[in-house]
Amino acid sequence: MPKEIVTLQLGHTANFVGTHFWNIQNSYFNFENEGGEELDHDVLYRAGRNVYGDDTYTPRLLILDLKGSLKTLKRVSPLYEAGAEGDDNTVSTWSGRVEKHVQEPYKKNDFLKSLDEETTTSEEPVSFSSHLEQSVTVWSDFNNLFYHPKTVVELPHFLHDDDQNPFSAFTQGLDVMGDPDFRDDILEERLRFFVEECDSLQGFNLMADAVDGFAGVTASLLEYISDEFPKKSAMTFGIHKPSSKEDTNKSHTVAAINSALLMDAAAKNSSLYVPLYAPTTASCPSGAWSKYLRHLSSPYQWSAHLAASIETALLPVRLKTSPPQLESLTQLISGGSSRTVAALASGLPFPLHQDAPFSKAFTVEKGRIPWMLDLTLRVPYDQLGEEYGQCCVVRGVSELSRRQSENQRLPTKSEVQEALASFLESSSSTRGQCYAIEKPMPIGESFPQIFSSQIDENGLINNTRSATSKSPTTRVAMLTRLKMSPHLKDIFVNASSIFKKVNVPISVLYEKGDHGLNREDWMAVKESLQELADSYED
Amino acid sequence: MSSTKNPPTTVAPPSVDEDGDADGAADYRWLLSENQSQPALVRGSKDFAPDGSERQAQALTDARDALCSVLQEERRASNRSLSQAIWLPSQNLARVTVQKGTAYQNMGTTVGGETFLLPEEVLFMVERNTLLLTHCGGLLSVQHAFDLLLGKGAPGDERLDVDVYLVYAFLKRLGYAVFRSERRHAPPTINRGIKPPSPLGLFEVGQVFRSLQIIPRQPISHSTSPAPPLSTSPPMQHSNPLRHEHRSVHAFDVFKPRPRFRKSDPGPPDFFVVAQRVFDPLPDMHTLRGFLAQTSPTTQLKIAVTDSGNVSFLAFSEPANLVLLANPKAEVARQGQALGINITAAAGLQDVLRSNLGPKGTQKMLVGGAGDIKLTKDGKVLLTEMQIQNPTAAMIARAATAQDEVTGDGTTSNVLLIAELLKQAERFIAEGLHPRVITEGFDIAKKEALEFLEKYKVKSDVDRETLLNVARTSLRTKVRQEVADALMEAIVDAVLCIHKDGQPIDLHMVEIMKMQHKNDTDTKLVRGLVMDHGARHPDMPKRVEDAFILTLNVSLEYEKSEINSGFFYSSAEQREKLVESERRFVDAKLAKIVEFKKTVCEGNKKGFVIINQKGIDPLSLDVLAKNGIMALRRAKRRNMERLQLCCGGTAQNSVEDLTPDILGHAGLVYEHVLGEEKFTFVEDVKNPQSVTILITGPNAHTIVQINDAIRDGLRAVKNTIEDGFLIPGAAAFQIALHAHLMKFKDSVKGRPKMGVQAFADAMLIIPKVLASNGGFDVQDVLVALQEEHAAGHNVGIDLTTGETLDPVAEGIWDNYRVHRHMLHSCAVIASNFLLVDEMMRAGRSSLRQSNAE
Repeated sequence: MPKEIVTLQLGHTANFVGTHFWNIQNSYFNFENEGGEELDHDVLYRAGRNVYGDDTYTPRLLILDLKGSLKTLKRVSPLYEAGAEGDDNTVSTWSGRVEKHVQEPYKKNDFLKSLDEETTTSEEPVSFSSHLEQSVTVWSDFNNLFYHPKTVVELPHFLHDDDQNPFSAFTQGLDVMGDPDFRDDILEERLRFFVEECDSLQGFNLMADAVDGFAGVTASLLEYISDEFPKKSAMTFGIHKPSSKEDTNKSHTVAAINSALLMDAAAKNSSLYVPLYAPTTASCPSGAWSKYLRHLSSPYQWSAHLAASIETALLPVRLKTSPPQLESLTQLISGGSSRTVAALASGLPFPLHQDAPFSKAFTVEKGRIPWMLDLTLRVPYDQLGEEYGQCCVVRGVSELSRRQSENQRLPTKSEVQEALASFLESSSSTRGQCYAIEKPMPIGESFPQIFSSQIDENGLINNTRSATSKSPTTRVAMLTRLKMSPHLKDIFVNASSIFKKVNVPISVLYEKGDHGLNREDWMAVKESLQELADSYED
Repeated sequence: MSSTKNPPTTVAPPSVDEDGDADGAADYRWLLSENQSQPALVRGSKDFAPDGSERQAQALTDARDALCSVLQEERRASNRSLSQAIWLPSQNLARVTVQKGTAYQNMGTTVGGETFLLPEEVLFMVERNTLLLTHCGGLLSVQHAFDLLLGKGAPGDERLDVDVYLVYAFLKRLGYAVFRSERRHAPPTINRGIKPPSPLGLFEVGQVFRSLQIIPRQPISHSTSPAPPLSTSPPMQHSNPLRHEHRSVHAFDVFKPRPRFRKSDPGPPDFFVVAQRVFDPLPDMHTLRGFLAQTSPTTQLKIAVTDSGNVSFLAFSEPANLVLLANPKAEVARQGQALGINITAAAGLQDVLRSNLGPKGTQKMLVGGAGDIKLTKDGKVLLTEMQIQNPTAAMIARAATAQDEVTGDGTTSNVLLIAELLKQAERFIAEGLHPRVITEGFDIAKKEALEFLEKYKVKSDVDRETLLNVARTSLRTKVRQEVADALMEAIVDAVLCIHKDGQPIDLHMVEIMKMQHKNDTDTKLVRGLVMDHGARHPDMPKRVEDAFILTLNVSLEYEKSEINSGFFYSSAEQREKLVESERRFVDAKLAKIVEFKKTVCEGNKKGFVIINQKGIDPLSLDVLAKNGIMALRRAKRRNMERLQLCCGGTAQNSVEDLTPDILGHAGLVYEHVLGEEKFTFVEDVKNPQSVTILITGPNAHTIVQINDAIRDGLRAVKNTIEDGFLIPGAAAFQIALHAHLMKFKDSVKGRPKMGVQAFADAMLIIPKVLASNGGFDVQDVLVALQEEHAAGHNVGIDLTTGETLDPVAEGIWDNYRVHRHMLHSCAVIASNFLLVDEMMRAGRSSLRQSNAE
């Protein structure tokens, strides 16, 4: 019996990540035979049936975004709508005149058009990567699947990309969730719907925008979850989009304040909170970039990296055989302590050479691992010494080894697991667990080709491969590491220091509304962040 | 600087809070201390500031000497690049007689086979020693040429201004190709009183309002036709070969040097440079916008400021210089203009909504860009659907939707009234009346109108017949007559069920449940509760008659974790124990419930149903199923309350003290499955004080529309019961109010009288729009109504015939509180808009657009 997880995506950036996340799930269905029945998709998906008697299989998912951000995505999923167009034109509820206002249909890009067409399964792997890099403006532009009608919600009062009334403050998010009608809709009609049908819900996975008003929405939802489902896990990924050129000093500060307020709230009310920063080349210090990655700049690209990392890190809970639960993962990572904030690092791709054993990857160059990206701390990745606990996932190594050119001996799953464990132990007094999973990360047609030219179509490093080779990468091996270490202290110290910059215009922004913050509130948050920082010191 | 009195050490940080703001204070201190030692004005970087030392003096002298020696050097000119030209003072031009060198690639204008040079071009070439200029037969020296060609910018002096030449020469020396700008230099006139385009794109009212931008931005065609077709007549005659000659020159088009540059077809310039002196006032926002409006998006605007020979440039695309000027596309509207904008915006919104009003209004079907359908006739829904970007329209929309939130109706009327008040006011303002006088009049009129409303309202009985009339009036403006008539009974009965005398009505106790069904449109009242979930166990009974209802808020799940071996657990044993005790704990709870069920059901045929707000896991469900109990998990929070009102009993937070009196009772509980959705009906209950309205519809948008209509109907009925008063509908109130205010106007002293009149006239928009939506002649109807009213009757419009009718006799009723709120809010909002005299809009979005290009 699967232990169900309900996923929540809160905010536009989170939905970029989420859309990649679900597209990856979709790729599993296309790559059916590989890895066999290793994963149990029922953990994330629900089987249903529409009123016409057709079976459906949709994510157990709640998507929140602002009005105007959905573009080509229909609010009512075609899966659950009448197919006949004729129905739509008869208005049975009015006998008088009917004025029809048809907005010009949003233009679909080539990728979406290809989804609409009858799928002709071609032998050649296709990638829409370069086309999508040019054309993606919102997440529905590369969305691959249909959602349940209760999944997509638009927030009232705020418009997507609205300069005059931006959804920029934490407190605005709290206020939106305070609106009784909206709260009822989200919690009673939608979240409850997904939860009610779960036989043994293990918890929630939240991906949330951390720098705008959605931070407040997330904090409010987390509070509800911890009240209503005190024994369920809530794993929260706080996604920080990079600041744009147009941002003023004020909007920088506001973003940092939102992030700090969410950190405070999420550390209290989630079982694990992982702040994630967009892996763009610009935001990474030199030397911290993985040498097997291209330069990433657009949200479409870096959100794919984050999605792959989150997906892989949570993969163990979806194993068919003896999966750990979210709760035990949390236990592993916190090392049994009550700390809740963790860091995620990911090696995408995990470097497997065409003609060398997999263990070659475990060589440290100049004190660092050049193919790992630290998504939380954003420092060059070495083993970083002391940890409280960790959970490491390596995937696709044995599967990909099969495709190596020379007859390398195929490593077994446990060999990979042991090699990884000993590698990690050699560097630190590691406590925790390593998982080796056979299924590689599938690189579907909507996943950006973010890999450097040495990576061939099977995800192996091939130094002789010409840069002009056209065939896209279709799968890669990958490693993620969720861990809790004293280094995280820095991010709390940074977060609490932002409150020094609260000046009059900013405090005015946060004073407004039913959940406005006054001076005592600021001080309280600051204090609690400092306490957090202290708890990471020993 | 006065700060010299304050040595930095004594500057106390402002005592805000201990450490939080200390950093800010430190900043100031740094500034203060630095300012003391720094010269007040530093322009650019200097090698050194004078310190009076001998060494420095020597260095300066050396530099000066070097400069002198350079200047004294003899100037030679190469014959190969030396052109000759004759100065034509009457035309302020020079005609080239001998053309040599490459300078003509980006200088000079060829007309009729002859090349002419503008004065700045002449001077520049003379200065560069590439041109011999003759005047009246004599050769001019450099100094002579400057004397002759340059003016001091005095009025009437058409000669080139020296400062303009400085800018020109400066740019030329840097290698740019520089041409006089052909553009108009005067700020463009303000385009006022633009009428909104009539057919409004509903989804983006913004589009409409974009056309109301203060400065119309026209694309500039870079037509470069420097040479007008010229007759063979030689330019010696007193006609000017170059048209733009006689205008004073301020502005240049500047091109970066690039290969194969052709002066006949230069393309859009890289910079648009406006020359001015340092003491001239900077161009104001208005002028700047004018400049920007004329340039292409790739062109940067620079202001060249000359200060005694030095030229420096201000760039207005870089927000470094001045805060206000940083954003050249910010829009500022002043005084009368702001009012004009507000009125046009309001009128635009009015146009969108007017066809909605009344039972003869138009249903709107909105099809979104993704193909989503929204059907509505409700002003509130429409306003919420539209993505209104115009700030004025957004404010009106917000005020009007607030009306809906407070009273449940009147959104459309409110928008119509606000816009009409502004329109009426505009008439008087155009005649010179100050807006403030009008708002005074509005205020007086509003007070009088509210008093009149008190006299006009009719005491209502809370009987079913009256309530049905109210519900019918409300619903017929939202949905088709037959649907409305079916809905109104359900609505009135629902409210009557939950109404308890002397207590406010909580409409939440009417649950609205929606069912999507292929080919069924139906709405009915269920005297009981319908829940959107069912029993999650195959063996549980699906239909229970004569059932006890146990309402619980108790978790019946155990935390059964499968723990992998090999984990590190600091407290694995403890955990294991915890899990085990939890399991036993849940089993104990189940045992208590089963025990209780057996006690109460012993010896009778009664069923037993549990409705739990918390979860029930499969194993617990199994236990309950084995004992013949139907159990529902994760019920809505609000259903806990509803269940108690519906079938009695008390919700339990624990299973410790279960006694028969906490149980509710229902005659029938059964499950209904529709696709993946399960519904559980709790029916046949005694004296239900919570009921359910069940909507069935073939698709989502029909269900949503009926839901909206029901919501409004419920509010109308509730208002009626709570108010105890009603207002005759069909625009009867507005007709009566208009007549009353026109009489009242005479008693108002002074100019606010006009405001009262405007207010009274604005009220007539409601009957006018109703009539025109019904397809009748507005004036005919209005005259008929007013005559009838003058004859002492209470009249409204009969929208089937276009005649008059008596709303009281016909049973057409409006809510009292809707009218009261509407009168109040429309007057306040309209007054606010009238008093706006400046609007600023910082358009980051417009900047972003230009960046994207």
